Amino acid sequence: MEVVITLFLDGLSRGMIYFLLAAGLTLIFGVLNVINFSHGAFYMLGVYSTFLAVKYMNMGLAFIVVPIFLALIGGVAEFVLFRRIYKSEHVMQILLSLGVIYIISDSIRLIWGVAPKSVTMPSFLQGLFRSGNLLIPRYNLFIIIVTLSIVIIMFLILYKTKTGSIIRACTINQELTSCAGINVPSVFLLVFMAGVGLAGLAAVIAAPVVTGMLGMDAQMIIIAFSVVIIGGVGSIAGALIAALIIGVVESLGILVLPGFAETFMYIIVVVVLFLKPDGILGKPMT
Amino acid sequence: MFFETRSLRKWFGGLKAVDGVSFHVKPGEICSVIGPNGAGKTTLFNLITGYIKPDEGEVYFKGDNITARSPVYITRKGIAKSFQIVNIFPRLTAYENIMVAMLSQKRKSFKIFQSAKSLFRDECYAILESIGLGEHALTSAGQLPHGNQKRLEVGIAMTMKPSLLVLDEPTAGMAIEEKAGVLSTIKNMIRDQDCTILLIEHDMNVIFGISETIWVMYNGKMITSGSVGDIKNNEEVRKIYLGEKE
Amino acid sequence: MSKIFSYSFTRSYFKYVFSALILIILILQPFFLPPFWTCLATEILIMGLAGMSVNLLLGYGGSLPFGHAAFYATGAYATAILIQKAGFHPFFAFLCAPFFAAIIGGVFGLVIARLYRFYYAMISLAFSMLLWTIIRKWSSMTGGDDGLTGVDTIPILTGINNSYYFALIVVFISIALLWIIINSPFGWTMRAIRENPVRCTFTSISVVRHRYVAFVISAFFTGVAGALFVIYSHSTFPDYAYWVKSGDFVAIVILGGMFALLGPMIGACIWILLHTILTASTVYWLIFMGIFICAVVLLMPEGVAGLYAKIRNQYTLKYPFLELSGLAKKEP
Repeated sequence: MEVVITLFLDGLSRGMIYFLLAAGLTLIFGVLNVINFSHGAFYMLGVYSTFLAVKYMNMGLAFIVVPIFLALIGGVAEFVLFRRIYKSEHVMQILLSLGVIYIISDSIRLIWGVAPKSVTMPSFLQGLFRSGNLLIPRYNLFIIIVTLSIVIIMFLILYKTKTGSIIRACTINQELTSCAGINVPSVFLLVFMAGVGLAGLAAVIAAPVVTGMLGMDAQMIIIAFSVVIIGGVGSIAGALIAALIIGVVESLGILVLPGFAETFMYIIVVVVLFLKPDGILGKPMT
Repeated sequence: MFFETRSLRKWFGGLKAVDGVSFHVKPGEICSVIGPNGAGKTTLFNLITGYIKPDEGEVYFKGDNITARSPVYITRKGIAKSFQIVNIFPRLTAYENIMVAMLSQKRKSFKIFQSAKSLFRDECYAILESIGLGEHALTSAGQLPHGNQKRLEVGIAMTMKPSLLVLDEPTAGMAIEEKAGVLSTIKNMIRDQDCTILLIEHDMNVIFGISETIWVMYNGKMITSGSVGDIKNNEEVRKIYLGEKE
Repeated sequence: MSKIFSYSFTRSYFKYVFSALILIILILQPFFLPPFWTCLATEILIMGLAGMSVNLLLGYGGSLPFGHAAFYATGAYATAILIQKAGFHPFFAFLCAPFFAAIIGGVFGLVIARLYRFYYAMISLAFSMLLWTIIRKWSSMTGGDDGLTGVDTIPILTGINNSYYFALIVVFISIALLWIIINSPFGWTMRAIRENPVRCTFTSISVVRHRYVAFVISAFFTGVAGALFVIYSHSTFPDYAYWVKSGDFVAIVILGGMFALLGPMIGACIWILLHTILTASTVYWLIFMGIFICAVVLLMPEGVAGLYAKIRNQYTLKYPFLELSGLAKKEP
């Protein structure tokens, strides 16, 4: 029984990381209507950057530096590349993000080499937390708490601030928003940077528990998009629910059928697509 | 009964777009549905042709219950629709637009070992001529002027050899000379193909010019129906159209 | 009456000569170019075929097929496994393999053909990655991460030149078949679906069914490409199912021009040549490949064939096999 609970919490913390990644993606997809396959590559860049940051600074600073760094890179990418294809067909968008993936992953190989990298966990977060018979890795709790705080902050921003309402307005109707005097391109830039920044945050949090290696982006982007599909495009709340479900299913799936975690995820995606194509909480896709 | 609906209802959120519509169309006639904007005419047509599903009510065509069936099925049964907003195949030529519809009508759309352009050439050109696009056959449909696109729209529907042709504002946006052309095409269709026409129009001249039966729709309900004379003299109808020239 | 075929025959004359010239070069090429180029040409032909199969769905069907590496790999692995584990005669294995790919296409298509745009792309990708995982894990059959090597090839085809001619013949036949399909009622129906799926349902065209059939056909020809590659290279690896390969296929379609039948072949040419030059120049060639893709998407989305058509300021090219489908001549 304890095993199940431990695995369940493990799944929750996995799900939280997936959520952070997917939240950025659903933001970009929902507001800008751009399919950004390179989101996983940005995440990978984040993990590697965390390694560097931890090496020269410490984990705490990394929490701030890495997301900002990633957001800046995302901003450059948006300005130079993505901005021009908002109105293009989806094929072109996917292809462009493919190009970006190639550039990012080979740049990573250029800078860091092929050997896998890992980040050591800060000592105060290591170890297990005891509650009766339960043994829970402290870091999992840390992930859950931190991510929840971020979720709360995000909701506050989106629903309680002027900027947030502007962003939400852009999701619903771009033309009207720009007629209202809002500089839509700047909003897009901001949203894109925020999205990539979230990926950076996910990377920093995930860094101590994953190994940084080339090719991790492929795995993560599929999971991220699956979360977005299941939760509904443009819905942060949906992404949260979907991410947690996927995380838990993945964890508990080890009990049932080890090694085939992705299969469960694909099954859920297919089922959702057939039963409720817009996702759990999504708005219909135009 | 050739075509009838029974108590069709459709809600969009709190809005009753179609509120208990029961009407019928007699075979071989030209039947028009009129009413002010927002009366629910287009929604009604969408319900009939399978574009959306009714919340309540039934649709019967030639004795079959076609309620909530897919457009693919309904079109195959003999009801063809032309759209209010032009809905053609933009990057294909006018000829190819008709050709594709023709191939589908002749149930050849899955054939692989034939050359599409060698089939039914005469028939496709005949249709193009009848809608006045004979000389524009090789023009990209998206580059045709709006009026010609609308004609193509109707032409595609006609190619399906329907027993009931449903036209949603077929002459919208056309100049007066063009409208006459479309109307004569429609009349020819009935004569040549034994087809019934059901249409929505806003131009009263067109309506009074060709209709045999007129149904008036307002706020999602059918208010009244009758011949051209009946409707012209109907007080209620005048009230609804207050301010509009008859 | 013959308005459609009104292009004067004298004009076509030049185009037929041009095409014949290309054909002659292709046939005689091994005799005056070093083997390296023959290898390159073989790879271009194979990749071009895969691209054209993908284009059946992309350029002519209006879908986003992002998982065709799955069928390429199925064709490859089916060939290799039938030869090595089941002891089939290589030629027979080669003939059977594409049918395996078509079957897998039939299974995947049940889900995929109902989807649209982004979801279509996403699920295609997911399914092909699933296949990749299966290939890697099922090592007893597939050799796992190491793949299968030393696969016997068809006995007559010893030597690079013979492999090349075999590929040339197979690809030629496949192109002919694809050309027939494109110009058939089915092909034109696919184009209509691309243009306006909603209108199609109102023209009694079942969009899902047609897409499904197209999907299976496309899977078949991609399987042919995969099988050909094994015959040529005597080996197969899990990477053939990796999403990067699917991305490559789409890239060459866009690069060459997605509205022309032979567009992807042109795209494959440029792609492989570029790849060869870059890998020879630097270890970090992927960065340049990435920059190249971005440049193509931003500057030349209509591809080489589309660019050519624009320059000639006409939208119908009557080169045999290079006809730009779905784009008609502008009204003067």
